[in-house]
Amino acid sequence: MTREAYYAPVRDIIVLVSVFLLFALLAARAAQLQISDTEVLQAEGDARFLRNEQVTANRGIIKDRNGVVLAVSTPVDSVWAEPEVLRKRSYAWPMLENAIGLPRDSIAAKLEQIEPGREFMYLRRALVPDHAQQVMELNVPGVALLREYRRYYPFGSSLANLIGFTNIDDEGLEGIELAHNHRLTGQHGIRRVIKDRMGRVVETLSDDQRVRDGEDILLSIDARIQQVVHQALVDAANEHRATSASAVVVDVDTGEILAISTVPSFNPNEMDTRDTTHNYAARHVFEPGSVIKPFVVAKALLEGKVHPETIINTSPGQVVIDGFRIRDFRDYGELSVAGVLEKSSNVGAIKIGSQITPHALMDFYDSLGLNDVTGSGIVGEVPGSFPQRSKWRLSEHASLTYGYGFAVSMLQIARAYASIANGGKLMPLTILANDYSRQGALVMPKSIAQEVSRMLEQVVTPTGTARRARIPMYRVAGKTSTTQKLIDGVYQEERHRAMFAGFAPVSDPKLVAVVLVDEPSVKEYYGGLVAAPVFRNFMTVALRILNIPPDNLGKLASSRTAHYERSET
Amino acid sequence: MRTLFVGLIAFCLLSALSIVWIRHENRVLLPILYERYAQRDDLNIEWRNLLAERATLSRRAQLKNWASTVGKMNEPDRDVVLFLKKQSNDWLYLEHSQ
Repeated sequence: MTREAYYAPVRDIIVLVSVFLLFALLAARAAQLQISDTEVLQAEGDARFLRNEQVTANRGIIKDRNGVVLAVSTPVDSVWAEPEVLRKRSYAWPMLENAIGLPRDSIAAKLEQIEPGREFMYLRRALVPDHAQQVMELNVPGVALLREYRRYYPFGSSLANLIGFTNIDDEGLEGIELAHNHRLTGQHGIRRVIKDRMGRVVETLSDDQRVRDGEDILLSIDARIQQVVHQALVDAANEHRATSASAVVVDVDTGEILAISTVPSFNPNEMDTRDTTHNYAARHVFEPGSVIKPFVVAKALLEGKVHPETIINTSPGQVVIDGFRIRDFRDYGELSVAGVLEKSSNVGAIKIGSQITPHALMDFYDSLGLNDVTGSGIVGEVPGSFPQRSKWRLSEHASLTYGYGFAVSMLQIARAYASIANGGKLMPLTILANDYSRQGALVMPKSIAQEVSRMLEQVVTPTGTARRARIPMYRVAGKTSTTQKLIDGVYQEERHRAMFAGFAPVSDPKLVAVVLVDEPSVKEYYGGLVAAPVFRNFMTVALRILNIPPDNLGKLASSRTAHYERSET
Repeated sequence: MRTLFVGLIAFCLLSALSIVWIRHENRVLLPILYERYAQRDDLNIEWRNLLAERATLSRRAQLKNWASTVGKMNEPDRDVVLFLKKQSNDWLYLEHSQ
């Protein structure tokens, strides 16, 4: 008997066929899974390794006109967790407690609150990168970092009232940050990626949403001038124990706002102590008082009611209209038109203004933009507030000429004064640099503007009310104002606004500025004593910073030899 | 017919191989790309920090303090200030007569 005798081809065939069938079965099952039932498995696999990654966009930088950074977002790391993963790893909670200073209980509470199926929760926001790195070194599964940004304001309080601030999500809440939020905000990118077990990206599936950084914004502000103005205001507010002090500096020709500041201010870098902004210069309207008088004179000159040489008798230094007594500081007797401005005579202003109808005066104020917003683009800017009347009582007419009975903002005053300074052109204001879309309107002929400008220069002479606004080597023009505050319908004897509006250098005006000190101490409250020196303090430096040539060098010995003689002695 | 069949098979193989090759290439290059992303982010961070630092250091109070203490710079008195005026191609010296 040999082995060959048992050879049976049938068995071979049976084995082969069954093996083949088994493989075919496997192949069929594989095909079924791969081809027809693919979705279930794909979803299972993706859920483990597919991630939507956020690519954080940078918020735009806010710069001044010279490119100096006024607000920039610097990165911080936020610690986040995948709730499902962290929930299963309660052993890790105490470690996190130490690393990020979050109590164990509150981690548990946070996990408790999160709805099932969520893939993301914050554990701690805005840690400095070094600190955040320590958290990562713990190697807790399901805990990761997210790059976020914190806004940093290098100039702190001096610009806080203008620029405002952002919230923890880097969204603008106040000021420029709010007004231009849509431009500053970029768009976060979303990237679908597959990660391996170690969290490394192994494949990018798609850039569903491309990351787009926010735009930078260039303000018309000059940070150097802004700081000088702010410091001058801080000093003035302290010296006079004022409740607030504000100033705005505007480029005479372009209407660009070079500085705008209000104290008290706050530090925008400290989230806990920062306040809502108080941009007094743009957001408040008040009775302007005497600073309005130059426009009454301009209108009277325009209509030919007075000439620069016209003499106005202001004796006896007071006048009674509709039972109201309006006084001058003292009896100035006969004054020229310029003298009325120089001494700020209310009686004189009323006499000049009474020759113009109230409607004509109102129309003129309208054309000076005192009734609407200046176009500055500052959040919350308010228009002026004027009474609507068809019939004017004499006292109401009179009050229009010395600046009571209506309210305007500092920006509007600055803009109207700029029109005197630049030869009669009213420019819309702007807070943005390179904003060339604006066009000015002629509101008075050049000759009138120059005449008023010449009169205003007389106010800033040793005999005028604004003598403390004088700046060495420069010719200055301007007007003071001291008003009583109207509170609950009563004019307050002891609560004042001291104001000064002016420009320099008179021969070719470049800068116009308005200063307001609110409720200075009772002892010294006149605009000429309180506000004019503030103007001088910051203007002196601002003119030098901008390299504006002096136009009032006084008596100068002008020769080459004078110099040589000097060097020989 | 036969050559077409062989051709198609060969093409099929080739495309399969190229997919494998490209995916491999992708896996090799991707970490490099992400490294570059990280580098870009780091540089961006540094740039922003430098901007903030420069602005902080250029604050007026800071400069003034530095100028007067370290630089020993002071505003000159008015009577020692000379003014220069350009006339044609010459500089004219002006000085206060007061």
